[in-house]
Amino acid sequence: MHVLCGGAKIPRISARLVSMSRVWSRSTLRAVAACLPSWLLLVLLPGVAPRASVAQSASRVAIGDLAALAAKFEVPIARCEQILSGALPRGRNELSMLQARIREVHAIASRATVTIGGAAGVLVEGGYVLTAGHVTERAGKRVGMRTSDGSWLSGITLGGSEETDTGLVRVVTDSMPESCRVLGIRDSAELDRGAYVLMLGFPGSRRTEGPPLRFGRVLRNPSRGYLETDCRMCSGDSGGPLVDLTGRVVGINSRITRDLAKNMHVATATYLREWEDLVASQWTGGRGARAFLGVETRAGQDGTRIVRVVEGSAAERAGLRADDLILAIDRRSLEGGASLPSLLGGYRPGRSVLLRLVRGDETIEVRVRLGARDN
Amino acid sequence: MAPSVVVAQDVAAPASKDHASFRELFVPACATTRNATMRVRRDGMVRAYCTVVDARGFAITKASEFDGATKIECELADGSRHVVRAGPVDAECDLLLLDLRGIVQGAKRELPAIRLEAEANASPNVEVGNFVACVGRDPEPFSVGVISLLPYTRIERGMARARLPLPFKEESRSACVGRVDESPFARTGLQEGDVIESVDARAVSSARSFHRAIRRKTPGQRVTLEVRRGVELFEIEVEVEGRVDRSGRRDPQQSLWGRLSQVRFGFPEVLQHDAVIDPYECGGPVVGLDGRFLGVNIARVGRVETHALPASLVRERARRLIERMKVQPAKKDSEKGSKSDKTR
Repeated sequence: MHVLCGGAKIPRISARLVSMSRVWSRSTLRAVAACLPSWLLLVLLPGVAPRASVAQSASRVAIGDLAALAAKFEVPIARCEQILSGALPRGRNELSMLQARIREVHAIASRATVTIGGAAGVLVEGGYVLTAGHVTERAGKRVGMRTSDGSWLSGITLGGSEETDTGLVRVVTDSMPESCRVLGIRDSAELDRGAYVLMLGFPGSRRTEGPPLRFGRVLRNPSRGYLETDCRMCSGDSGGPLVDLTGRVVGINSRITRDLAKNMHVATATYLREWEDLVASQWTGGRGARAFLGVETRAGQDGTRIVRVVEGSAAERAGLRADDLILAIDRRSLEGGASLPSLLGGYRPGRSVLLRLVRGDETIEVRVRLGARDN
Repeated sequence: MAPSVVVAQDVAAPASKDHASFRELFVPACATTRNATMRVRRDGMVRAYCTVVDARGFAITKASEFDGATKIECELADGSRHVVRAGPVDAECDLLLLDLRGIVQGAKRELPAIRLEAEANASPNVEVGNFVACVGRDPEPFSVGVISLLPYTRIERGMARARLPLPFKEESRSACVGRVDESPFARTGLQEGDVIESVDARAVSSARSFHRAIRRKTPGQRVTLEVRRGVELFEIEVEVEGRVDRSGRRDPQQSLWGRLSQVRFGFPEVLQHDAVIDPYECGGPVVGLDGRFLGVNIARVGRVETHALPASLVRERARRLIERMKVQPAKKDSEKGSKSDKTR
């Protein structure tokens, strides 16, 4: 099996079934924990040139026959296309056409949706499963995936990102169950605001009803960052697909806020941008790239005392010295024994922070550009 | 922790499916059913919609919103409010029959009703992905969505299962309490041989119906049990158990879910759709794009789910409730006309 993406040839790994119960319980726990609410709204993405080849190769997949639909409901094809990409239907026929299309796309997409632990994923072309980064968590892990007809697929996690929440799994089971479907990927940058989208939620562990369907429209589609829709999501829906009415994946369920209208999906544009890294099992963000100052410290009531400065670290570059007493980071006080590591944990590598510290008799302020901690 | 945020669901973005521009597409679908839909107030407060199921003056609504109500009023299209009588309750479906015969007599004409019998012959087009419109008093539906899953039966979701593991005597047909001296219920004052008559004024006749009544509660909720001991009848209050995080966080996702119905589990069959409704918007009809009656909204269950009782179930249960109403005729049938007094 060869996958055309940047010319990389991916050898197929022979299927080896793993103990499902172990994978299940552990990954369920992790997925449930990972699905806990986050109020993170937008993340800046690293600058990588967008890749379109995957989307183009996938765009051949189309569901149903638009011409047949147009004829059945007596709506011109051009008008059908307008509606499917977000125009408001006029009259009963156009609305019925939209409804028929939703059913067609759902019939396929629900059979491409799989359960991964306590979350979901979607089978896409090339033998991959798109899911969320907080579902796979790291590269090289064996996962069991339950398909819509109840059979199991074995997979291995590839790359992902804790910053953008992308995640990818390669299916290693040889034969795909007949009832399964595979979706194409569409570059979400092509989506307009208001476009109709379908979201498939957590397919359930023992339930046989299949993944629940939710309908909505694109509310925000920034060039970088999450795609927002009014397809309501809840915990467990993470990793499930957001599909447009051409039947292609345009996003992956990621996170929600208290606002019912804030449902955020990782845009496929992000996957396409990171595609080479994802396939090469590169994992970005997370523990490997947590902000690193480079000091050994001792917390006290009056602040945090630097005991040693790590060579070549951000702290050394900024001129921090042993015996400096850190009072505050970005006006957040360290007095009273607040923990420096936990405050730093909220920062990303590369962020510049203002430290207020006591050196000798004087209180000074030092700006430090935070580094990244090696794995 | 993030600061507390007010749930904002009524201000829909123009591109949203919740925006009026999209909901207005369903005006024709709601046209007839809308006439059979009324607001119901409990002691002046709007608590639900009701669906008129019989033109002679019977409507159904969500029963638990009216537990212990002293005054139930229906609001007609002209805005007038009429006090109506509460009829029998279908505890399993959480349906309450409202007796609107007073309104019919006062207006001297029948009420527009959902044609339950007609729906029985034509099977409604229930398919996942079909549009649903929640019919209210406006020409356009107050919420629209799609069918998320085909009607299914699921007793409860494990996450919020409410329970009260009272020991019952197995041999007894009624809800007769067994040995409690070693259980945590000893402190409640219950004794062996006590018979539980009702849970929050809902009669229970067996251990099974007791547990079924408890299952509809929310963990942490306090319920009143009516207890008979010999000839004595008294009430005790107990807290429903369940998977509740005692750290005070309860369900960490709860705050993300918006407002939910108190009674939202244990229905015999539900149609799950994704139209967002308020807990006080249950009891009204759900129609499809063709205007056909699909069911009655019965509970807001989660951030993503609204459950409706499917049309076939509503038909069967409504018919039974009306029969029960006729079997136990109203105490003062002749006075019913005067009971519906205009309060506005």
